[in-house]
Amino acid sequence: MLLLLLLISPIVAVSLSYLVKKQKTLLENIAISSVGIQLIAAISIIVSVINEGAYTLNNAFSVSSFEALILLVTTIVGTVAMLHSVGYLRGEQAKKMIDFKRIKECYILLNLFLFCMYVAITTTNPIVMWIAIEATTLSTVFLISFFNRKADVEAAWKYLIINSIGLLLGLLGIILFLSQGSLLTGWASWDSLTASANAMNPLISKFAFIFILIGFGTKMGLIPMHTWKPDAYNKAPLPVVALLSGALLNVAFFAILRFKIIIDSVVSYTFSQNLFIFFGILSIALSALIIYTQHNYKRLLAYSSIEHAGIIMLGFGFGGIGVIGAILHMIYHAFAKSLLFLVSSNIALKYSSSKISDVTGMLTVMPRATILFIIGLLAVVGMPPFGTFFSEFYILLAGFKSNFIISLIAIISLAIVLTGFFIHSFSMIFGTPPTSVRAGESKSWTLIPIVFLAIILIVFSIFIPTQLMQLITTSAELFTKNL
Amino acid sequence: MDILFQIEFIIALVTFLSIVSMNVAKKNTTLVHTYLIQSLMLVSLLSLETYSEMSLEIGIVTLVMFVIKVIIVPQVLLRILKQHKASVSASTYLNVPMTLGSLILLCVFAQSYVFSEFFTTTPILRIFLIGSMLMSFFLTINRKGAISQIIGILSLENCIFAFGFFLHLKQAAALEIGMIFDVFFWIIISTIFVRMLIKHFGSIDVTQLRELKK
Repeated sequence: MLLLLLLISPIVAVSLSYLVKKQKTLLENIAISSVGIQLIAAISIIVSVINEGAYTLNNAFSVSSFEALILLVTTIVGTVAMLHSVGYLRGEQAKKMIDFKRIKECYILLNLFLFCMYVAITTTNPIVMWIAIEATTLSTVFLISFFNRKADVEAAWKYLIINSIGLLLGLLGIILFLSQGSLLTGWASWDSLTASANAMNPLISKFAFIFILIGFGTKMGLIPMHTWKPDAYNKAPLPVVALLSGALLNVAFFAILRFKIIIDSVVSYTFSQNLFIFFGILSIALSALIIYTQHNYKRLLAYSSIEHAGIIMLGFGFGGIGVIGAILHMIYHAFAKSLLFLVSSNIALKYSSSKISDVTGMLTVMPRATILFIIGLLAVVGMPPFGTFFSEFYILLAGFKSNFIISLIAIISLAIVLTGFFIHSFSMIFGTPPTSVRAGESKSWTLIPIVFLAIILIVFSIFIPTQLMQLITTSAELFTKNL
Repeated sequence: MDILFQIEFIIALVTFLSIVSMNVAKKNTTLVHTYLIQSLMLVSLLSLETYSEMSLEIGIVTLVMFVIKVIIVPQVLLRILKQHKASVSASTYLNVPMTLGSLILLCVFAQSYVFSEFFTTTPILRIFLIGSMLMSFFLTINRKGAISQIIGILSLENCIFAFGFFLHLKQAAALEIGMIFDVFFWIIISTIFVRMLIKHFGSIDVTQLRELKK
């Protein structure tokens, strides 16, 4: 029932929001109630998984340890982004950027987006997962072109075409896997697919995995399939970007990892490891160089997302303790990056610009938001005591044991990222604010959800509950048992 | 070879020829009509399966596919072309000889040892099916027009479907219908975006999209 509640809640919210006419407060109440229910349902499911090992609705939807972790992160980021959207949309409406119709569209599409991600995480069928991830493209494309300016439409078109091609390649990979098992007719599940792995053709399976990696890697924004990402992140409303970076990235990677378990049973694990290391280090190194020379803080964060996607890939590629580091990094990055995007949303509302050079004197203009910005910044660059420091440490520790050169390149790249972020942020935080910008904090609706996220980030960085750590280690075992 | 397989083989050949002609077509309307033929081939494949297995489920999938891919999608695309008088703009980055040369290379690649594990009993199917997928992908990247790109993606989807069929992949009917509806929503959304592109940029030529570079 809990899983049903989780899945139905956003759909009910979509239906109710569709019926609302001119009552913005009602729309907001529907959205808030919906994410509230989703959060309660998700936490209850996770508690159930901790106690019983898995939560099954029927043969189509089920949650075990790794799904529970991804679900936890997605729901928390979804809740915070939705709450923040209330204040953000009010701010944009006050600036006459959007009307009621747009606000209604935004709430409907955000709920649809959350629904699609929940389906992708909890389904037991690879094709349903593909349909759900493809549906995330369709639900978010209008959010990217939300302000309906020329550049927004162009960014959305680019996002639609690139991701559609990528996901079709992903579908091809799934078809190649599904076509190989004699057990697989009708409703194929992850379990039946894994069970038939021994009978699969190694060469065809390798092809299939490469297609899946490229397909869902496009959705993740891994280099060189990343070209849609900086533009989409630059043009979409920032609460949406927080969801894209904090939640969807993990969901897309989760899809790849599902197939990693299967390919590791078909051929030697070194095949997927090498691919992960290649795409991981490429994404880290190239995005580090771009981050250093970036002039737009939204694009800066977009490239940082690519870099972190690379770090996570590298962790799974290195194996061993790197896998634990990578899973931790998926959690910490989701919270830290969402936090930064949401603070950036307050910055954008205040300064009406996404250029780093236009944003100066944040500490004077909006001190509370600046403190949150600094927290997010330190977490994103992997400074202690934030969890990202430890997760990156685990990943690099695993890397230095198995791939010294790659780890060295990764460390140098991380140092470039650190320097780049500090240089850019220094000019944003300090200095004299522009005369056109009035000092004053953002409205509480845009600030309180970020404080909530910052508290979660800090608490989880310092202390991970034993039960949660148990979920993490159980999840890691899925990827280390074939090593 | 039994008669059913011979018919399926001919359908694969027509699918292949349709994608070749899409790549060299000069008009968007030709592209849409060729896409219609290609979709009709998929419907024929499913009709044969419905007949051979006497399955109501597959029959329903066939009907849904016919309505969406053969009737609705071409109509939606033709209407947009008619409304915006964009029927003659289907320009490519490469000229026809270069395009044909590229298609030949893709076919050679499809027939190479790389894909030797597929269709070992009927190797020519590699050109028809894997070659078609590669050529659909090529169509998407070689075209300047938004409509052509949409058709390239739809064609790729058709080719993947045909590929799955020849690999004897059988999914539950609900899933097949889910995928077809996914295509339906995709085409609706992409045509909305084509209208938005025309409104903002006055053209469906994607080379005119330069706002992000400013």
